[in-house]
Amino acid sequence: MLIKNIQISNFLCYYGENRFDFVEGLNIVLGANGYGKSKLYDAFQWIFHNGITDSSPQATGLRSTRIAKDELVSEKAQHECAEDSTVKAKVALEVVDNRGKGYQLVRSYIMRRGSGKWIYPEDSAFEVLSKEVTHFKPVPESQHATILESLIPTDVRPYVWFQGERGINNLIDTSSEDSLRQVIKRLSNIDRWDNYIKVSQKAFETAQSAFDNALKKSNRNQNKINDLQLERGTLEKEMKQLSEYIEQMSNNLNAASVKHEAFKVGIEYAEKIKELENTLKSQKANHEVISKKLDTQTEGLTENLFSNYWALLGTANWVDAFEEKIGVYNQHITEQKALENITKKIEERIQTRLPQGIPEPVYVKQMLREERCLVCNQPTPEGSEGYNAILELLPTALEEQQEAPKFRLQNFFQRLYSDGLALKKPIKSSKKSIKGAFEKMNELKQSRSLLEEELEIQDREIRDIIRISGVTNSSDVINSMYGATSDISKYSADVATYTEKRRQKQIRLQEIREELNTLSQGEVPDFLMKRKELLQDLAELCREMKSQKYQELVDALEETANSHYKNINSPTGAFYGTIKFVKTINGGYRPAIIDSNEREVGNLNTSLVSSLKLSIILATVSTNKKRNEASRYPLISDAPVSDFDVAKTKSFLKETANTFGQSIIIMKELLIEDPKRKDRYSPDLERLCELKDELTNKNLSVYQLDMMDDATNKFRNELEVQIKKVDC
Amino acid sequence: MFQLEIVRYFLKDPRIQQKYGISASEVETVSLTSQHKSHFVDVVRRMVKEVEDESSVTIAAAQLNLLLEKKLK
Repeated sequence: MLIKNIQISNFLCYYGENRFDFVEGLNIVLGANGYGKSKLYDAFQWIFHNGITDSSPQATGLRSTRIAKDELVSEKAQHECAEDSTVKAKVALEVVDNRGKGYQLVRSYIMRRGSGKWIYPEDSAFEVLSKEVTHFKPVPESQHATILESLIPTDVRPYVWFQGERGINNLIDTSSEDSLRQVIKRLSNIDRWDNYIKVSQKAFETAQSAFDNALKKSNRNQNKINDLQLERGTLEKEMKQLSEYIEQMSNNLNAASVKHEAFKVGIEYAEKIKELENTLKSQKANHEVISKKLDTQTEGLTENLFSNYWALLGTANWVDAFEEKIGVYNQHITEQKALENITKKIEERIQTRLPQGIPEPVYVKQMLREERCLVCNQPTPEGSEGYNAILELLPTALEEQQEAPKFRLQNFFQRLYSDGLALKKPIKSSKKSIKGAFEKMNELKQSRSLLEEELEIQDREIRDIIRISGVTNSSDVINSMYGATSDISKYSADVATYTEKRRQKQIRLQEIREELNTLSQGEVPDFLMKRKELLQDLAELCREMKSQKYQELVDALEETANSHYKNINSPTGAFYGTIKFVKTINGGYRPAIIDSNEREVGNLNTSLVSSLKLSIILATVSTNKKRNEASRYPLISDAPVSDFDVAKTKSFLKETANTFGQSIIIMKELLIEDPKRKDRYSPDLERLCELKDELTNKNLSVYQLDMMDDATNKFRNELEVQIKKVDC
Repeated sequence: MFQLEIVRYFLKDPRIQQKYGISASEVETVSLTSQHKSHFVDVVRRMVKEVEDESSVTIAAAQLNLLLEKKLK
């Protein structure tokens, strides 16, 4: 089938009349996000499947017209539709089938605007028109399905029409062998070999039954024949049962192996993470111990300020200075005392006054109160000369009483000096003690700092490994890996045991068959035995042929997929390895990438995974050269290269063009920001021209999906995609 | 695959060739109607025809038995 053009009117965001003309070769439709790329893909889907993309996360298929009926007609067209009028969404596809016959496929949906509400028909209308010399002629509805199937068979469609990452993942799941099984089925009718197995087995069983019946009529060795036939029957049943067990165990073993393979990539990381986590845990404990020691040491510094006299550091010479001062002071006191003694003695001799310092103020006050001199025991009435003389003594007495502490101050200074002398040595040694304490504290701080650096490094290393590997819970991975390893060991042993049992029974079965053949000689017509033997060989051959054919298909698919894979990846210059279909234990295959040492590469980046899947999809269509499907059916893909850089996008487009007779790739890559328009894009003409030059003998057609400068997604009823032909 | 290709595919098995006296060159020249001394060739051709013509398993198996009965009797 060759798609000549598609005409879209008022369908989804395609307001008004829109048309894309396609060439035989490579057709690229460029559109930024929200510019109608997927809606164009939906136009193809709507024509063939009467449904549009279901973009909900759980979606498995399309949303039919019945479900999406209120979304099909362009919002702008709906907005402009007057009351009591109709508005029509229509997609018309003009194609040519593989025999050169032209068709037009037209699907439409008409809504009526009633008073205040829309009237939706239940379903769309579909027409097929065949191209006559001058016009298109409607084809009866009864032929529609046949024509659609002949244009592009249903089983081919998923491999040539796919949308985005999800579409690709639905076709090829690298963790499941089932998707490859489906691909192999697509490549060749592998199931036909099952029919050969069934027919040959049935023919053998019929022949054996005829042989047995004839043998039962034998006149000799009847008991032995009966016993042998009975034993053979039992053995065949047991072998069948054993085969079922083996298949079951193999499936279990395979599931465990797939699990093991899946975790194998992560286990190295998980173990490393676990090891680092353990080290980290022990180092954190160590850090806590050091921090506590440091806290104790810091608290000790404050205590030592007073208990070990660190606060007095540098005051040791004060004792010496004080000693000097107190010496001078004591000398002064001694001299003063001596002077006072002399004065006192002189005054006593003169006896004009009471000796200084005697009496004390309390007695002076008593003498004044009693108006009597207690020294000379004479009356001293108030106002008398004696009274006044006593009165004069009062301030002196009080003064002397106040001066009394002067004598105690000397004692205080003496004690201070004694204390100072006692502290002199500890103060001198505090310097060393402080130095020691600070050295220890610095040592602890340094240890803690080093430990913190190590903790940070290890923590970062763990985070890096988690980021690279995606292993967020190392314990789970390790436990699952151990579980899978244990399962593999168990199921391997089971498979080996049952296989050996089956082998033993097979040997015995062969012995019985030979014995029965011997016993049949002369008793059973010779042809019955020969027929049975020949058909047994045929049944065995059929089983082997299926297995061999399957392997051949796998090899062919692998070779073709590698050719596509190499062509897509080699221009990038980065590592890409080789695709290998790894055989699983239960006879299936799963795709993997191996390096030059035949080792499976883990943690493939999304770009490599996408190119691996796309290569297998391309190979699914291109491997079977006899079917020539790549030339017969167009590839239509929406956003297949979102994981690719520009170089890889170009190489994929080239590979597509070289593989398919016609391909329509809808994508946003090869667009660049338009410097003259805000938030608008223009085609990367330089790359497109390069691509055109590199495509030998292939046509290239490029369209761009654009929008008016002032259009925004906020006003959906104003949205109108503009289709521009790009000249490159 | 065409019927003849399938027949040749079956007959290419070395073990079968040895057991039933079929040479590799004979396999290359075998046709859907050619005569051959080995009944194995006949039964393979018949089986391929029955399966590709989509006969039922029982009928196809009976046809193979009948063919061999005629040939071996």
